[in-house]
Amino acid sequence: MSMLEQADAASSRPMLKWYITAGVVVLLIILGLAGLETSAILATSLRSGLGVQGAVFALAAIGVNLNYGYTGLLNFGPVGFMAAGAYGMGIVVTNGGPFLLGVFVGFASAAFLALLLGLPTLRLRGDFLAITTIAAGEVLRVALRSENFFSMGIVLVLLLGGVGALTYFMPRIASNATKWLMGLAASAAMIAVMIVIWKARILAGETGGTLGVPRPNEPSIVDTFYNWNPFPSSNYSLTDIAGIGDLLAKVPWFGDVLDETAFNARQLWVIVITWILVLIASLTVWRITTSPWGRVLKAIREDEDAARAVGKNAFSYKLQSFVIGGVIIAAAGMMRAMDQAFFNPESFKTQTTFFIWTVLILGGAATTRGPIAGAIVFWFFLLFIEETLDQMVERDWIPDAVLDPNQVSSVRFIVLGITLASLMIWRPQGMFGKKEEALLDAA
Amino acid sequence: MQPDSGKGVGAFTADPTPGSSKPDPILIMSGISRHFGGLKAVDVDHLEIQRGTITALIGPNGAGKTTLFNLVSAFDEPTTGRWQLDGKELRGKQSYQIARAGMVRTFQLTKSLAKMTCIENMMLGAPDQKGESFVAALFGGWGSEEAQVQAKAEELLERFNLIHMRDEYAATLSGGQRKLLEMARSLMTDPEIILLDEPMAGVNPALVQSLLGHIEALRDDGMTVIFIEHDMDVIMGISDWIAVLAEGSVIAEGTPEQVGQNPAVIEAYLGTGFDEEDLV
Repeated sequence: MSMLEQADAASSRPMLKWYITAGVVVLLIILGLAGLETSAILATSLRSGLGVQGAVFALAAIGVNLNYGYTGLLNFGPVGFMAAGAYGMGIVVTNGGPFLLGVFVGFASAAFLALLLGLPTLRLRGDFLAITTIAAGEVLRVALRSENFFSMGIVLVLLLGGVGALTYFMPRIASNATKWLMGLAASAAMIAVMIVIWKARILAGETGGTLGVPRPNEPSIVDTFYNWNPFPSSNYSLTDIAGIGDLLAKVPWFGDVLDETAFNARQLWVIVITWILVLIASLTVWRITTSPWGRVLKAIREDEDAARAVGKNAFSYKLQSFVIGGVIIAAAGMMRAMDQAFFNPESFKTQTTFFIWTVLILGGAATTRGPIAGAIVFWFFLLFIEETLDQMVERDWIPDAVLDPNQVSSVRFIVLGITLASLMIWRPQGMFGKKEEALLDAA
Repeated sequence: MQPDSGKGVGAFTADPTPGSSKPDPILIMSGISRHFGGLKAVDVDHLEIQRGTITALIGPNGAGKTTLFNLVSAFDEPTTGRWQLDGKELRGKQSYQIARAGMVRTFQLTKSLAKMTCIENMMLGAPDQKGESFVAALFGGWGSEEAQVQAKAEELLERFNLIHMRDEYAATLSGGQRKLLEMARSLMTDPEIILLDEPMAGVNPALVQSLLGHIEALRDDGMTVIFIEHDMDVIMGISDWIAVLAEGSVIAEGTPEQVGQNPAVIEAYLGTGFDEEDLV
């Protein structure tokens, strides 16, 4: 451990945590003295940061972190993987399939999407991958809007892409006739599958078009999940969850905060499961990235030609990273679907992608804690700003001519944008990133 | 007459003519060409590299030396041609497969992995690591091998005088140290033949001597070294054999003495109209 790193570990990282906490406390005191309802502000922010939103975005950011932070792949289409997970699961469950099969299909869809996108594009340079993935996410969303897209449109496009990739890359993998034949056989098989799907209309209309999943009169997608909920119906405040009893609840202001932060049993169940998934994903990513496998990923991030020059199959590692990252992101998509019990194509707009990236950059790429801390802080402040502005507008501190109540949710992004820009200038490594690494980048 | 190259370990006898056959060739290139549009960057009819020697690849700027390296290490695809390492056909193989087959290379613009420490840079190089498969990475079982890899990496760092930088990021090394690190990392793969692209370029003159020492030591360990270099003193000093490229083709081959007296080489470097005496 170098001097710089020691200094960093010893001082700035723990200090940052206290800076943020102190900043929030001071802000709350000022706002409280000014007459705002600070318990509501804090409660709303906490609900979001520690709740489903925080957990879902932490999970998705962990997946993107594996791609970008550790492998250097600019995956700008995480929302596409969330969609693949949610739709894969939704289609199975609304057709009466078992929930766990649905989950499996959700993961498999994301892995398939990763292969489909990765095979042709991972040979491209970083920025091309970014363009391809962001486009793929949008294509998927727009395609999902059309009622019958699966009957032909996207299947055609995706499968032809797959066939193209296979026939193009099979001979490159090893130039001999056997591989050519395998490529042709695989192409023929895929075309056959395509024709079967077309003729049988197996998937026609299954995505629900703009109506989403589940459509009216279709079985719920979340029943099984909530049937497993062990928490009795009640309201759970943060102290209940932390197991420290309701001592704080008797203190006037804290009591209000705790009351307003309370989750019902259903929300609590989603939150607990999602945070458990975050923990599992974090540990998995930590374990694999600290192994020799992870060392190859980092080498590819730094310079993939150098990795090739010492005999590492860079393409294979990039594909592995892409698939594993995609599967983790798909889990986030499925958990969000569990929370909302419904989704449609509009649930998967590019905004989600940008939020995930913001979370990752805020927390610090290529760190284990980064995505988690980033997600909590991001959602905490987004809601903090919104609730504060809401109350200000409500009390007419800000005249409607300047800002009316409908505009608040847009203005919060302006404030957040300024915050992020400042962060990039003064702390480019994010909350947990190593400052020296960020400096090396600039050099 | 076939004079001995006189270098002891790397000595062998062969015809000093372009494309001549060697007594024990490790690398044989035949008919390798690379066209960029109308430009023929490389057009090597035949070239053999003797096992266990230091062979220098020289030639004026734009002669196609680096392109030839790129082609044989599959970082670029030749328009035509084939080449064999120890009798194994390499045409159509990918760059990582060529490295695994025993031929590694370094780059003119050093590729140190900036945000990895020196020891991580080194440990990456070890071949066939169990922990490099995803399943093993997840479930473990690579710990003991990792310790061996680390010991080997430290030994090489020691040998290349980089052990004091063990835990520093590669980006903090000087240009010369990065060249050393890249060379050491290549050696982690236990290569049979190593291609060094301008190993001395940009290296502090104080380090050049030690670098030369390392290169000679590799040859003395039985490795084959091919290197591209511009500094004539360096080349004459350590090469067992020299191949001269000009406009993509091999125009001369031979021991340093033979090449130094070859009029074709002098012409390629300096153009026509010079007397041999002008060169001294």
